[in-house]
Amino acid sequence: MPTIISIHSYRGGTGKSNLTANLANSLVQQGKRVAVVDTDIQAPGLHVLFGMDTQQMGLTLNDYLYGRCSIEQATYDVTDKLGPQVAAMGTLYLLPSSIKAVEITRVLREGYEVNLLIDGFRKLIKTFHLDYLLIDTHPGLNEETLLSILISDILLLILRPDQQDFQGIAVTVEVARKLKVKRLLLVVNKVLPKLDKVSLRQQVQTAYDTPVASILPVSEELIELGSAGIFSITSPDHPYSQGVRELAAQVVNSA
Amino acid sequence: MSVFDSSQPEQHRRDDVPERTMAEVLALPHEARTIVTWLVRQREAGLSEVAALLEQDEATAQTLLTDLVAQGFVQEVLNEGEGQPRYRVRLAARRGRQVPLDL
Ligand SMILES: Nc1ncnc2c1ncn2[C@@H]1O[C@H](COP(=O)(O)OP(=O)(O)OP(=O)(O)O)[C@@H](O)[C@H]1O
Ligand SMILES: [Mg+2]
Repeated sequence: MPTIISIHSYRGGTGKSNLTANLANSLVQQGKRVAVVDTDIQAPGLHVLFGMDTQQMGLTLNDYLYGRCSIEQATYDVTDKLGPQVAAMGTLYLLPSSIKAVEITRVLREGYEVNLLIDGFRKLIKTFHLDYLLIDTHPGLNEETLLSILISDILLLILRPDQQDFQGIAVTVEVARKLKVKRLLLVVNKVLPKLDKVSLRQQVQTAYDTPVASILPVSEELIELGSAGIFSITSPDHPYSQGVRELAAQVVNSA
Repeated sequence: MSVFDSSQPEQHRRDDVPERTMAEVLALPHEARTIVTWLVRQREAGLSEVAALLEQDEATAQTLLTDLVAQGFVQEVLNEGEGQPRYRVRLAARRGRQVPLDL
C-alpha cells in the first residue's frame, strides 16, 4: 500500500523542507520509490535542496493546478541528485512549486481547486508506482494544509523546543485528531546537545499524548550547508542523519 | 440544520448550497465528521459502505447522509446502470488563507 506522509509544523522555519528531503533520501536508500511534493505554494523552497535552479525549472505544480499540464509533466526524476550509490537503490521524484512572482501572486489571489490536488496525488502514486508520497507543507493551518493532513496516512509534526512551538503543536494535534489522521508522529528538531533527550521525549509525549518519533539535534554544519544540498548525503554519520534514518525505519515499519 | 425544504428537487438544491471548506468540516459533529473525512479518502462510497463505517443500520446512515447533502458537504452521484446513488464530498476551491482557530 502506498503511504502519503505530510510534513508539517505550526510555525515556520522548523526544518520541514530539510527533513522532507533527508527523509526521502533515507527511504530511497531502503529501496523505495518516493516522490516529494512542495505544496508550500506561497513560499516554495524544497527544489533548492535538490539543486534545481530556477532556469532548469520547467513545468510546476502551479501549471498542473491551473490546467496547463498533467501532473506527470510537472514531476521530475531527481534520483541522480542523491549520488550514484543511492541512485542504484531506489527512485526519487520531485514535484516543485513555481518561484515566479506572477504564479505565486495568482495562487494568493485566486486560490486553486483542492480536489484537483487530491486527484493529482492519486494519479502520481499510480503512474510512478510510488511507495511513498511526501508532502512538504506551508506552516500554519490553512485550507490546503488541512486537506493534506486529512489525506495523509502519516502526519509528521515538527516542533522546536520552544514555548511558541509547543502551543502551536497543541492546536495542530487537536485538529489532526478531529480529521482522524491514521498515524500522528512528532519530531523535535533543533535540539541543543546539552538537553536531556530522554526527559524531553517524555515531556513532549505526555503533553500531547502522541509518540515522539525522533529528536534531531541542532547542527552548525546543517546551517552552514544552507539548504544547498541534502545533509544526510554529505554527512551520513552525523547524529541528525542517524535520527532521520531512525525516523525512516519507523515509517517503513509502521506501514 | 438545513435551510432547504427536503422536498426541493435535487438539482435545485445542489446549485443553491455553497460548497464547503475544510474549516467547516472541522466544525461538524463527530458522526458527520467521521463520514466526511472518510469519504474524502475513499473518493466515493455507497450507503451500505457508510453504514458499515458507522456500524449503524442503513436507515440511520441514510438520515445522516441526507443531512450532509442538504448542508452541501456531500453530493449524490448517480452512475449509469446503477440504481443506488453513491456519495462524494463537495469541497470548495479556496485560497490559502489561515483558518480561524475556533476550536
Ligand atoms: N537540525 C537543524 N540544525 C540546524 N539548522 C537547521 C536544522 N534543521 C533545519 N535547519 C535550518 O533551519 C532553516 C529552516 O529550515 P527549512 O527550510 O527546512 O524549514 P521549513 O520548516 O521548511 O521552513 P518554512 O516554514 O519557511 O518552509 C534552514 O536554514 C535550515 O538550514
Ligand atoms: Mg519549507
